[in-house]
Amino acid sequence: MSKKINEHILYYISLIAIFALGIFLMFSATPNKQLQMLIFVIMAFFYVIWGVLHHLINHELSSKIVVEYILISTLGIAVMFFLLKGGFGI
Amino acid sequence: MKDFLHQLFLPHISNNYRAKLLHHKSILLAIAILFFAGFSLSAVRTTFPSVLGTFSDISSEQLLLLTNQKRQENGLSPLSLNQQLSNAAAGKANDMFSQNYWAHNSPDGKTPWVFIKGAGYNYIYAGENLARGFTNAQDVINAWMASPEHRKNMLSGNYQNVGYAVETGKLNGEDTVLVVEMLGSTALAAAPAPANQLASKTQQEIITTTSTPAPTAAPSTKPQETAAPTSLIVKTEQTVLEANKTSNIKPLINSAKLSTDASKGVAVLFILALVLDMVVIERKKVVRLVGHNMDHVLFLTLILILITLIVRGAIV
Repeated sequence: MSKKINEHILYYISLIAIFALGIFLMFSATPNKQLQMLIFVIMAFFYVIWGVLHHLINHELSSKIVVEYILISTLGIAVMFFLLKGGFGI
Repeated sequence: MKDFLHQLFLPHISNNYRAKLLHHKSILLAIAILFFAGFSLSAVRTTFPSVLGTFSDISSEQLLLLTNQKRQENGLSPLSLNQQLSNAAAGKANDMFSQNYWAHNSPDGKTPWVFIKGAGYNYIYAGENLARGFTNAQDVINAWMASPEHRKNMLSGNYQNVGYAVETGKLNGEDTVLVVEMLGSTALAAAPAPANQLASKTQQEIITTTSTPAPTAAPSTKPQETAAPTSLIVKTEQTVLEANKTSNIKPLINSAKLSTDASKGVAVLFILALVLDMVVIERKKVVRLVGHNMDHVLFLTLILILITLIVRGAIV
């Protein structure tokens, strides 16, 4: 497993950089939760793009994988929606 | 039950070597449940505010106690609760809700001092600290103490009195709890404040004898606390505060806590399934055409971090 992670280390560094930027933007948007939701949706979109590119470069892309990334990012949006709509009434 | 959990979290020939929770249908079901639950909670909050809603365990008494603890630790005299300042704080909180702003000055240029004067408190020194989204008094005090500007206000020797308002309402489209702290003194404090204790103009105002407000702006009645015994004032103020508390509806369930815990639970559940799936498949050396579990684990970990970031309170 560690060998596989080492092979993809540059991809993961780029992903963590995107996430770090997202965390910074979310922090800057405090306490505007509507803006934070919008930032998260954009981050989730970039996650799908990043995932597709990652698999495309490694010649292992399929429609099933694209759907998986879309589903996981939508799951993230659903979690955030539940938190903000259900918990804080945005 | 054991078989169900095995199917749900561990890849096996019976679930096509992919944990059942990670199947597209299962993820889709989780998404639908979360969206439905979000709308449902929101509807329950609106329809039955006494059952589900936003509330905090913050009280003026706790805030006063904790503030005075910090002041005594720093060799300062304790503040006494003042009803006029509490009224000013409540006025400021209601103004923020009605005009939908989160700042010391209102969009139409109203400063905190307008509320203090309007409440009949004829101040020489005055200050204001604001907090929102906190669930207990200790966190509010810790956040103010961690901010140099707010700390200066709390630990200023210029102040003798304090008033608090803890109000729940909708601000910027979000249900939240606002905490307003108004500090002031009607006569120069016994211990002169060091020069570095003067906070920014937005939080602290000083009126010297040369810049006393014009008679029309100043309240006509003098504050009561200078004439009455301190113990009597505190007792009267506590009675009023208790009356205010009972008028507020405290819901049975804190929606913010419920949704925060449930959101974290969902994220942790999927992280667990992804990690278990990744470990088992790696051991069995099964070749599958699926996305990288590690990517999803990182994404869901980000969500856990963001939930913590989003739900924390803010000060200004």
